[in-house]
Amino acid sequence: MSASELVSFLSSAIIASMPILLAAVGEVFDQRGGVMNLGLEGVMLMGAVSGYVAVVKTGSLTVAVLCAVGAGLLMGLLFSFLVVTLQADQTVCGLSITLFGTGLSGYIGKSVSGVASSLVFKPVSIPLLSKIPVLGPVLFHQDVMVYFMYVLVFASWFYIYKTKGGLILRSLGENPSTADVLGISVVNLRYLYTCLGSVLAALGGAYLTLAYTPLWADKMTSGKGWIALALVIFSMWNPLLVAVGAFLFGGINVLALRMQVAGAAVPSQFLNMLPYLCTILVLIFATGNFRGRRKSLAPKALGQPYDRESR
Amino acid sequence: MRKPFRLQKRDDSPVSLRIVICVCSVLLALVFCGILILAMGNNPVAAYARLFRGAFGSGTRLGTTAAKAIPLMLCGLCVAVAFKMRLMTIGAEGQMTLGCLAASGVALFSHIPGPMMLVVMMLAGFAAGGVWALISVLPKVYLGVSEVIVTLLLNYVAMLFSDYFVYGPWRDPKGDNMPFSAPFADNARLPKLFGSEVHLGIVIAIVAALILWFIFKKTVWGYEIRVIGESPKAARYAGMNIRRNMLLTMLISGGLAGLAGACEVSGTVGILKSGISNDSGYTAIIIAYLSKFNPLVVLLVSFLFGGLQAGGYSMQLVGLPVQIVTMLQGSILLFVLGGEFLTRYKIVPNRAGKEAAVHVGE
Amino acid sequence: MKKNEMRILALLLTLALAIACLAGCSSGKAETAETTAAGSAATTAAGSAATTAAGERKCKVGVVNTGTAETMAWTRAHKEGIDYLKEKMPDLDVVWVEDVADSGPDCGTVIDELVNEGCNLIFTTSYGFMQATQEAAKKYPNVLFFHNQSTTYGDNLGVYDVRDYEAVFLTGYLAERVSKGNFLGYVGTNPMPTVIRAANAFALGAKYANSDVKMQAVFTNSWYDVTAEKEAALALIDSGAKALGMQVSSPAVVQASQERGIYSVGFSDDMHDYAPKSVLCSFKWNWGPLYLYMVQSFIDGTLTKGEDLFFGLDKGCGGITAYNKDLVSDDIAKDCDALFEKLKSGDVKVFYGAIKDNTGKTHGTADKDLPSEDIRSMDWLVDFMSGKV
Repeated sequence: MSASELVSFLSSAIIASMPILLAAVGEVFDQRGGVMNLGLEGVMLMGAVSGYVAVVKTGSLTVAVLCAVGAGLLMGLLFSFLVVTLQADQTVCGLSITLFGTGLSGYIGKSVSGVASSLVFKPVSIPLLSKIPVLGPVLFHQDVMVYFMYVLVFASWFYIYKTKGGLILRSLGENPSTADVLGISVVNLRYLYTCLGSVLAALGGAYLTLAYTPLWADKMTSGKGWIALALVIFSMWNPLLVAVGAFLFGGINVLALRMQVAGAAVPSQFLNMLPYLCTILVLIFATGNFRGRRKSLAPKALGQPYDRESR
Repeated sequence: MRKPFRLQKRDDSPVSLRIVICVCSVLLALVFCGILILAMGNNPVAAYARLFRGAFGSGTRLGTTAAKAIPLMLCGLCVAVAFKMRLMTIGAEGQMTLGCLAASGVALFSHIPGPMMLVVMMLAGFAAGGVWALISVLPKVYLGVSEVIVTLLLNYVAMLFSDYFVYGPWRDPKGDNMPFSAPFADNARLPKLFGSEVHLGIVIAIVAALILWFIFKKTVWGYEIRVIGESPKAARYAGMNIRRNMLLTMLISGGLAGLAGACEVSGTVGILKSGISNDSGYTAIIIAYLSKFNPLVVLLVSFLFGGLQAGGYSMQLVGLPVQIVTMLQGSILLFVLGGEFLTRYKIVPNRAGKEAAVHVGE
Repeated sequence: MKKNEMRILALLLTLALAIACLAGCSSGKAETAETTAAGSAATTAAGSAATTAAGERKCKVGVVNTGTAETMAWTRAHKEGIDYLKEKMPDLDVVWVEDVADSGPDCGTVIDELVNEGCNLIFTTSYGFMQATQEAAKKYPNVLFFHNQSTTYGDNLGVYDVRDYEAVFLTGYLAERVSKGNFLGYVGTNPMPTVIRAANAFALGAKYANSDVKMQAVFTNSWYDVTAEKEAALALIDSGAKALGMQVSSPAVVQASQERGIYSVGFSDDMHDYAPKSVLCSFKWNWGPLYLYMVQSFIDGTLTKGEDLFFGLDKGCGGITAYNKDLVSDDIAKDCDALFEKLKSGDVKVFYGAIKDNTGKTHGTADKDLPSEDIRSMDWLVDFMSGKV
């Protein structure tokens, strides 16, 4: 592989990883707070369609991003209401959000199906840094959303591990009743972090329609929401590892197709299985309780509704 | 300012209350969707009428609805068994696909004569689904890896695997290289009953449901499943072998989904092609949840969902948009989920100056 | 139960009862509405039968589709064909049903409903409906069925398809003339005969312009994976492809082409707006004239049983959108138009003679057209095109 091919491949891997990455970082916040949102696929689609409809109707990327954020917020509020206030089962609620989001996005997207938009986030080179050989163009000749992602990943990591706010967040997920006793509003904060997670997932979906493939197609996320969920577990709820995992997955996806082009002797269906099999293997090795290994790092209260009266 | 109502936890929630809340939730969902339909510019009442007629309006239509319900029933049972033990499997779709594949393999290449062929096909389907489910739960059982994601990802793998055969080695040599297998011989087709669309698979589904109901209600194993599902700690203290139960349950669960695939490919389709599962595995999760994992209720809810799909096409014939069916399914689920809350809490008026008395029993 | 809950419950039950009553009333109304519609359709047809030549049959058309016209290019192309038909025959009664699952009993169910509604000419537009259509044909001997993309016909079951490869050949020629590349690429969905023959036609068209050209075909193995389509395009471009042809579900490929500054040819929709600096033209199915022929012949009594209708450019089926004026020079446009006429008249044949595939086998015989069955069951790629099927 020549240098330029390598640059192209790595660059593509980063872009391909963006939707999953944003959604996964958002879900890290969710799950650290003790809420498991399986509805990422539906939220991403809602973000994607909202962004696209907005950009087609208003011609402004800023408005489009705001619309995607709004869609994420609404979905987040709906989900929070169901699982935090009404304390419904988080797994099934998440699945129903997926179903609902998929159907609703399909309906909203009807008006822009087949409508082209030339407004996308174009790559912007960062001076000096983008001149570094190989890594320069790969990392620093990307669009604004990618740069936002760099900041997001580090800021999230810093917040979760190094600030008081992050400590409180972690306590929500480990031991909400203790947090409650200490005067922390479990309900309010869970709403906050769940909505934050939703917003980020919606932005991940919007990246698809505003940067990666600027068009709207029904169900166009094709399972990215689920991969994002796998990534969260694989990364042990650490945003930095989420980024690594997302690049890996994006890279393998790109690789599978390039291998087909390169003429691999394997039937193409098996090549297409690679990303999924790799994700499973990584999941097993990263989170499995092998002999002598420490136990799962999952937030202890993950997935359980917090019911004050049963304290 | 004091809120006019407050929430009070119930001490118990009798079955009658649960049923009432469930039914009310469904009705509310219908109303909610009705408003959405109105917003889309259609007449909701006419839409529902058409939906109902399309699903249940005649003998033939009932038969079609029942035929569509069969894979939903078996997949619903698959999910119910697993979820009862808090094994959140999303893998029914992939397990069903592999069940189709295995049964097709037997039908196409084994040349077993007579009715034995069907028996072997069903067994093959069950085995394929069961083994796939076992594989997907091994990481959980031995390494504590979440089964939710693994089962889901393996769906994609299973479907790609089946596609390989459909587009490749198992293509019908006389089929213009279209992605279908050769049609199955007559003895590899589940017979249709009473000249309608419903095939023998429905008997299989009902029998499976009855067996499961019996297991849950009357056997020690069923009791163990329930306990492990509700409280793994209690189960461990009671000395139950959780590991073995998990494996066994997933084997049965996957087997049921595989059976769904075998029945569908043999009873309805008669040929191996892509996409036979048609999202049954995912719809089954909704069905299992709405049925509260009760095998007999699964049969009923599957029938209703089968009707939804059948009626949906009828609605199109009078110009109503396709999306109504999905929105309806989603809304019903959301409202039922929300309504669950009322089985745990009740809304009590907040009277000033009165301490709320504790209500014992209802 | 407490009073509050009883009140709420009573309210809900009343509501439910009300809805049920209304449903009952309106279902009666809905039925009447349908009978009236059917009645008026019959009267119009009967009326026109009375005033036109004997042998005219009344015709109610049903069309069964997978996916929706809004979301699937394939179904959209058929919708355009039916719209063309309706434009030419405004009194025609057409029932259009979409989003019917490709497998399982759904197609059969829908056909039952359509026959119930009085349809006597039914088109099923997806290859996955083959078995259901064949079974329905046996079940309803008085209804004429036409299935798209298969080849077995007889009695009341016909098959129809468009010779897409003629126009696709032209697009390959155009892509090669404009890009002047030695290496072109083709992105396809699933490796099935319809897609494969288009890939070969594109390649042969490119070769017609430049006999040294090399090609590569990549398949995404999904009918509908936007990301995979984009990545496949990028992979081909990074391997040096100077132009891309496609048979995919979304404009991702042309967008990727524009991003990297190479040319592309759109598929099924006019993809110009998605990539105005890259799209040279787009292939269009143009199902319209074929549908018109089938319905008209049905009505005037010449089409009474299943036939094999494989229509090409000479009948107005298949074709391209206008050339992109900014990218296609007048000379090239003229040459393409000339080629179009030759393809139409049969002077230039796409699949002719002994053709070698990329595994070394030979198909067809020298100096003879490749038989229609072979075209429709194509599962090999021409020898200068790499790729696996």
